[in-house]
Amino acid sequence: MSALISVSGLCKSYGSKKVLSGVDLSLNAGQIVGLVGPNGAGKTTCLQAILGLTDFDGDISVLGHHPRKDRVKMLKEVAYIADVAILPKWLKVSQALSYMQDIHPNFAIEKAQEFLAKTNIAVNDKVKALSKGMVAQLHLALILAIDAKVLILDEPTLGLDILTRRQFYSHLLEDFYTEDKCIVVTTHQIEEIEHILTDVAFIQQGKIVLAQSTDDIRQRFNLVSVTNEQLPQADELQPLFKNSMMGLTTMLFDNQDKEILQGLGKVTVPSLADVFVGIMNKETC
Amino acid sequence: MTPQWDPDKPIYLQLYQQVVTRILDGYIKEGEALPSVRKVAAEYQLNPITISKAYQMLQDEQIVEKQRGKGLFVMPGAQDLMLDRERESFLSHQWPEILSQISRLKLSAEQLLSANENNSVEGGV
Amino acid sequence: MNASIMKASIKKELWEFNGMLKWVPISLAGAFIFIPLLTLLLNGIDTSMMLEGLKHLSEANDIKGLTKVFFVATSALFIPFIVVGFLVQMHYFVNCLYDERRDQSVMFWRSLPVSDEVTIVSKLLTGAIVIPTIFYSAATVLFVGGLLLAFIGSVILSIGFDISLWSLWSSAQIMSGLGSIWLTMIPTAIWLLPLYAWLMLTSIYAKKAPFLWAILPIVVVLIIEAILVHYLQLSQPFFGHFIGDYFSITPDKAIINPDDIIAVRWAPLQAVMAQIDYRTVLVSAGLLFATYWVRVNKQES
Repeated sequence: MSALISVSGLCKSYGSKKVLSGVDLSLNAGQIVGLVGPNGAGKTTCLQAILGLTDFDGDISVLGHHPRKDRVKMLKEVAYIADVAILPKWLKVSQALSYMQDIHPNFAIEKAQEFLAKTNIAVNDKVKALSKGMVAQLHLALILAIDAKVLILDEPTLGLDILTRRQFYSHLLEDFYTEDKCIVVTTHQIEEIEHILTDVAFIQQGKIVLAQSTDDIRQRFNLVSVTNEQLPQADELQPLFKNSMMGLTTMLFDNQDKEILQGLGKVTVPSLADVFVGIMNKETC
Repeated sequence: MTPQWDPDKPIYLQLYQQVVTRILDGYIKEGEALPSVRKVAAEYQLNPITISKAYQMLQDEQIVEKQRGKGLFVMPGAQDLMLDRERESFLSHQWPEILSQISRLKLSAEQLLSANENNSVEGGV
Repeated sequence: MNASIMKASIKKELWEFNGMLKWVPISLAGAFIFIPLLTLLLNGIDTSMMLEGLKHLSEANDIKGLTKVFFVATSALFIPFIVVGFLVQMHYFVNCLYDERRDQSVMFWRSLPVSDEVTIVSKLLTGAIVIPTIFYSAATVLFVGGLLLAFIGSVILSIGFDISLWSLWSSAQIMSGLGSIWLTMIPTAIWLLPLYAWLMLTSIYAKKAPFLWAILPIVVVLIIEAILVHYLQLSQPFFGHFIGDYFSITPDKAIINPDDIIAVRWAPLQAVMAQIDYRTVLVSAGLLFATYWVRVNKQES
């Protein structure tokens, strides 16, 4: 499977401040990739470089196009939802549909109308009359109708209630996703989409510190509950993360033999959030 | 609703098990279609690859079959097949463990069978 | 450039500024209808005097004079619309690339397959051509309405009062008068292009208060120039004079014979065309390119 998006050596500085320091990323068809990192890690900048919204150093190829030089051609098959790319308040739903139909070759207006019919959004509503959740639904309706090959989501569910968030991902999976598309998501609510992701990339201070499939991560990392007696022995194996509570210390290990770990205590599979916290701590120590 | 997954077992296995259990219990009938991968992914908030893996396993175990253009259907005789398999699995893997636990606790057959009704066991044999 | 995408983009501009572009011309037209009506109602109509005057008019011989009067009246109708339209254009240009940055919708628009060239050109066309067209049309609608009333009036006069104004109609040269006014629109757009381009550049560049950013640099340059000229005893402030000269339209710009009605009619157009210089067009192109460059390279959220 060839990569739909390939990023190599991506660097970006704002003045003297280095935001991205050599990001390498590769996204294939069928992947749902989570780009996870603390605030200021460079997630938004990375995505904007992929979309050609900002200039950059390095190589990026999206569906074979260069995001700056072939911007318009690339954007015909790429869709973007972000908390910094907001629908303007004066826009009416009918105007949004009409405009998209005129400028987007792949826009299937019936799909958007079908989707909107299931919501409380009236065709003559202005965006300013819609609640935050409804705006997200409208934006999703427009995206679904484009049927893009690549979908870039930068904190798409920020500030939305849990019902809207769940519905957002449900629609994404049911109405949008196919095996020849790929989705990139950044979010702070990693627990929520942990199982939706096929792959994850951890980014910190402008660099990718981990990029693997979620299946591989679950096999690679282990969580062990160690008793106080076993503590020194366990410490020698260099855990990424330690947390002591109520007589037991929970430790996160990377690439250690499962049998050795089982000798130290109860071994369980960590959640993606656990792995994330562990890796981030390791980097900052 | 999104079920609570056991973090220690791969989800696709748990999904496979869920379908098997539902067939055994008769909630999914023979000849019935399984919901599409997308629908399950959306409902359970899982990525479609996980669902596909589970569905593939069901196909490999000959529990469901693919009907071109229509999806996956529970094969006739699947329920019986499942019954046999699960029986065998229980008897060869789980039962011996339980048996050793029973003898460790020195429980009689009488106590075992009545335990369900009263939910308590009087001491003694 | 795809024509339908350009059309869709211009439509989008009109949607964004819909309130202003609908209500200002309507209010102005309304004022034009309402105020005379009010005056008439308050002052009453002296029918006998009016009929006397109209009888004189039908017997008038000074065709040329009448035509001139007619043209002046038409212009008087159009000029307020053109002036107010100009103010609306200024507001549009100052905000056209600023509002979308302020409400953070710029990243939404730029994530769609519409090139930056199309975006900039569509905004330029909207401000330079479409908005004036709206105002010229509003004036024309009033004009036609007025003609209709005059027509009905003429019919009533000729049937009821045996006063025939029909010869006046032919001599008034209505269509030429109207046509010459409409024809000034495009040359005016070319003449004012540097102003439009400058405003678009400040609109895309300013982080806050784009209007101030548009005015202050010019004022500062003029002041500095005046100081330099004064203290260095230079011949004259180049920039200051240039601005004053370029943007003023005075009667001496078009030297015409006031009796020649055709010349009178074409005077405004002549005056405007006299101002156009290939150098200012080049400067405009430069400013527009700078605007495009900022949008492509510096448009970050």
